[in-house]
Amino acid sequence: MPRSPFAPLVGLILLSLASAAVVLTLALTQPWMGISFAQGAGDVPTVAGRVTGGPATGLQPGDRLVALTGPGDGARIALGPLDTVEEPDNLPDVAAMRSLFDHLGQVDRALRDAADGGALAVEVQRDGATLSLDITPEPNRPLGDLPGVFWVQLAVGLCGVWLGGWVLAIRGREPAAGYLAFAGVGLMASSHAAALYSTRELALPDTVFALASAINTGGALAFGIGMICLFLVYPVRYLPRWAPLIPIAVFGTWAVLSVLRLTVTTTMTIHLPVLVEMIGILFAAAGQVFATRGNPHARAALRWFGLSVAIGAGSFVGLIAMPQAMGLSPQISQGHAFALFLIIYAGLALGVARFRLFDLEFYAFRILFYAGGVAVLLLLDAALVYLVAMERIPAFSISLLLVAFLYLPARDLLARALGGRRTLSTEELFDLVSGVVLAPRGDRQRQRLHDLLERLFQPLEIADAPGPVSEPMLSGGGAVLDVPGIDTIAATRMHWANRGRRLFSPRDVQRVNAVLQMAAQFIERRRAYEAGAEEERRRINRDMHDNIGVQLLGALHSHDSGRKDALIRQTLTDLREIVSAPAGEAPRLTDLLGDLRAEISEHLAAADVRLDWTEAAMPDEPVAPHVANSVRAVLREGTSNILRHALATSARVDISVVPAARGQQRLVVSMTDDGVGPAAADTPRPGGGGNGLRNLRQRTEARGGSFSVGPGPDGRGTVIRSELSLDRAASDVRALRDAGE
Amino acid sequence: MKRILILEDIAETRDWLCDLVRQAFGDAEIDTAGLIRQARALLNRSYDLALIDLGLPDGSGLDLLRTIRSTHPETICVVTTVMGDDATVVSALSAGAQGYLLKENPAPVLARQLQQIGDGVPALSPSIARRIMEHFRYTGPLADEEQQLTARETEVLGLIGRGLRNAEVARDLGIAETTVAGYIKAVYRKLGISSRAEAAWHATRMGLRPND
Repeated sequence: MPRSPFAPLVGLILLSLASAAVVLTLALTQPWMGISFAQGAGDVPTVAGRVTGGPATGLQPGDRLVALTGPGDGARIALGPLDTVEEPDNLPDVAAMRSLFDHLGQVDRALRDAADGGALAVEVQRDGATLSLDITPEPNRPLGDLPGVFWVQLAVGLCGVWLGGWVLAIRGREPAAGYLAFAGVGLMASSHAAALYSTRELALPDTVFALASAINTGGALAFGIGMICLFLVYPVRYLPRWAPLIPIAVFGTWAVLSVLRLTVTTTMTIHLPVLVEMIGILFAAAGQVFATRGNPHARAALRWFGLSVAIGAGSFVGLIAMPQAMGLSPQISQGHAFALFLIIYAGLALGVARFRLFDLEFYAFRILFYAGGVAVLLLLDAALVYLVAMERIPAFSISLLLVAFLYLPARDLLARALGGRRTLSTEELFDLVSGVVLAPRGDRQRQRLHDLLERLFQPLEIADAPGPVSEPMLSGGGAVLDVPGIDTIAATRMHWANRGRRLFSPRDVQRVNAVLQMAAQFIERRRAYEAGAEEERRRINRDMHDNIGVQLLGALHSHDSGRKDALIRQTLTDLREIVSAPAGEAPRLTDLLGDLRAEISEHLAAADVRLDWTEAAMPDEPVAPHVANSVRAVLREGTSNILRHALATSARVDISVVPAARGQQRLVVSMTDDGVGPAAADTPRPGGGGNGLRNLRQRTEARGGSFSVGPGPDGRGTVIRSELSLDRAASDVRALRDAGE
Repeated sequence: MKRILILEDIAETRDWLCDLVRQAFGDAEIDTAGLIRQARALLNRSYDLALIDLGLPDGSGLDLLRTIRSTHPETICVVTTVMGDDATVVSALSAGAQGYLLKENPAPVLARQLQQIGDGVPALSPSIARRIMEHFRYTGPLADEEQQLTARETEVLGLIGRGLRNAEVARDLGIAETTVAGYIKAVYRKLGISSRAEAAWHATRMGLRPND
C-alpha cells in the first residue's frame, strides 16, 4: 500500500495549528495591565501608552516604572532597562539571559498574585516626582491587545510549515523536500517562540521565557541546517551522498549545546552559529551555480531561489539596514523580519516543487527590473543627499526623474541583453514561414521548418516527436516543446531553448501557435491555388480530348483536302481559345455565341454569303463544356456545308431557349440556307460532306439531345436543327466547381 | 501599300503571307525576314505596312513593333499570330499595333481583313473586345478621361463582343461604318495610354505588360 502523499502535509498542518494554539493560549493567559512600553529608552521601563479604561488608567505616557511590589508581603522588585527587551539574544551571555528570565519570572509572579486578589504597588517617576500607584492587573490578556507583529510571526510560522508540507506531499521522494520541510518546521519554531516572548507586555513565567528562547534558538539553527542541506542536494546533488551529514552533525551538535545553554556567551549561542550557517548556505549555493551550468532545468529552479533571496534580502536591506545606515530608525521590528524570511523560504519551496519553473524567466526579469529600479532610486537619492549635499526633496525628485527617463526606457534593451534572445522581424518571420509552406514536400519542407524553429528558439535539439501532437505543448517542466505537424511535416519535438540555456515557456507556446496559424493560412491558400491549377489542367485535358483530338483525327482520316484544311483551321482556333479562356471559368453562353457569330460571319462574308443571326434572350450563365462543344460543332459544320456544298447566297441562324419537362431548359440551334438542299448536297462527293453531319448527330444524341437535317421550309435549302439540355449543363458546371474547391 | 515588310519565321507561312499580300494589294515591294535581327537590319528603309509575327526564335515581335512605332510612326503595323492568346493580342494593340490577323483563317478571310486594315478599318474579335472592356473596368475612377472609355465606345465594344461585325454595329447604332472604325481606333489608342498608367497587377492580368 503506497503511503498517501498528503499524510505528511496533514501531519504538519496539525502540528503547526497545535503550535499556534499553544502560543496563543500562553499569550492570552498572561496577567494584563494594559500598558505599552517605549522601546529602548531610558534605564527603566517607560510608559508609551495605556489602554483607556484598562487596569493602568492611572498612568500617563512618559511615566517611568521604577519598581513593583506584589500584594500582601510581596517584596519590592526594582525594574531595569532590560525588562522590556524584545529579544534576549541581544544580551551578552547566557548568565545575563538567565538572570533576566528569573527577574521577569518574579515580576510575573507578583502580577499573578495581584490579579488573583489585591493590588500591585507601582513606584512611578513622573516629572521628577516619585508616586506610588496601585494597579490591579486582569488575569488574562484580551485577544485584541495582541499587536500586529504577534500575528505576523504566527502566520509566518504557519505558512512556512504549510509550504514545506505541500512540497513534501508532491515531492516526497526527494531528500530536498525533506530538508525544506525540516527548515519550515525550524522557521515555525523560531517565529512562534519569538511571537510569544517578543510581544509580551512586560513579564513571562521564567520557565516559559527560557523555554521559548531556547526553542527560538533551536528553530533558527534548524532552519539554517535545513537550508545548507537543501543547497547541497538541490537543484543538483554535487557532493557525495553523505555530505549533508557534516552540517547536520556540526550544527546539530552546536544547536543542542545552544538550546541547553551550555554555551557561555550569546555570541556562541546564536550569533556565531547563525553567521557560520549563513556562510555555509552561501558556499552551498555557490556550488550550485557551478554545478548547474548547462542544466537549464536546475538553473531555472536556482533562479527561483535567487529571485526570492533578492526580494527577501533586498527588502531586509531596504527596510532595516539602509535606514540604519542612513541614521534613521527602522520602522519595523524584528518580528516583521520573519516575513522577509518567509519570502525567501517560499521561493525555495516553489523551486523545490518545480512550480511553474518555465514561467519564471518572464516574472524574474520584471521583478528584478523593478526591484533594481527602486535600488537605483534609493542609491541616487542617497548619493545626491550625502555627496552633493542636496536638500532631501529636490534630491528625491531628481532621482525619480532620472529613473523614469533613463532607467525605465532601457527595459527592452536590458531584456535583450540579459535574455540573449534576438526577436525575428515580421519580414524575416514571413519569409521563413512562406519558405516552409512553399518548399517541396517531404524532407526539404521538414528541413525548412527546422530552420524556422532554430531561428525562433535555438533549441538544443530538434527531432521528430515520438507520437502525434494535436497542439503545441510543454512537457518535462518546459524542457520539451512539442510542435504539431503541418502540411506534410510530422510533429516535431524541441529540447531546451537558447542552446540549452533556457526552458520553454508558455510564451513560446503562444509564439509557436502564432507561427502555425500563419503557416496554416498560407497552406490553405497554396492548396486553393493548386486546386485551381489542377482544375485548369483538367479543363485543358478535356478540351484537348473533346475538340482538338476529334478534329485532328477527322482531318487525318479525311480524303477531302478542303475538309482537312477546315478541320485544321478549327483546331487552331480552338487551341487559341483554350489558351485564352480565363482560368477556371466555363464560358458564358452569350460569349460563346458572340465568338461563333463573328467567326461564322467572317467566313460567310468572305464567300459573299449573307448571314442573318437571330438570338433570343439567353440565360446569363456559364455553359457546360459538352454543350459549348456541341453548339460550336453544329454551327461550324453547318457553315462548312453551306460554303462547300449548298451554293447558297444567304444563311440564317436562330438560337432560342425553350422550356422542357421538369422546369429544365433546352437550347435550340437551327441553321437554314437557301442553297440546293440536303438531297442534292448529299449526293456522293469525294470525301463526303455528310460525314461531319453524321458525327454530329451521333455526338448530340449521345448527350441526350436531338439532331435533325432536312430540307428548308419551302423545299429549298437545308435546315440543321439541334436541341440540347441546358440545365444538366449548369449542374455539371456546379459539380465541377465543387470538385475543384 | 507599296512597300511591305513581313516578319515570319516559318518559311511556308512566310511564302503564304506573301501571296496573301499580293492578293490584297496587287503589286507591292515585299521584304521578308525570319528573325527580329534581320528585320531590324531592314528598318533603315521605311514601309507602308509591316506584318509582324509575335513568337520568333530570337525574341518577341512586340519589340520590333515598338521600335517601328517610335522610328517610323507612319508604318501601319499588323500583328500576325496563330496560337497567341487574347492577352498577347491586347498587349500588341496597347503597344501600338493597328490590327491583328489570326493566321489560321482561310486566305480569302485574311485578304479581306488586310484590305480593311489598309483602308483604316481595324479588326476586333468578340473575345478581345470583351477583354478590353474588362481591362477598362479596372482603370477605375482615378484614371483621367483620356484613359476611360466613353459611353459610345463601350456600346461599340459591347456589340462587337456579342459577335456583331462593324457594319452590323453601325446599323444597330444608326451611325456610319467609318464612325464605328473611328471608335475602335480610339479604343486602341486609349489602350496604349491606359496601360502605362495601369497598376502592374491588372496590366499583367490583362496581358498589357511587355513580355518579360
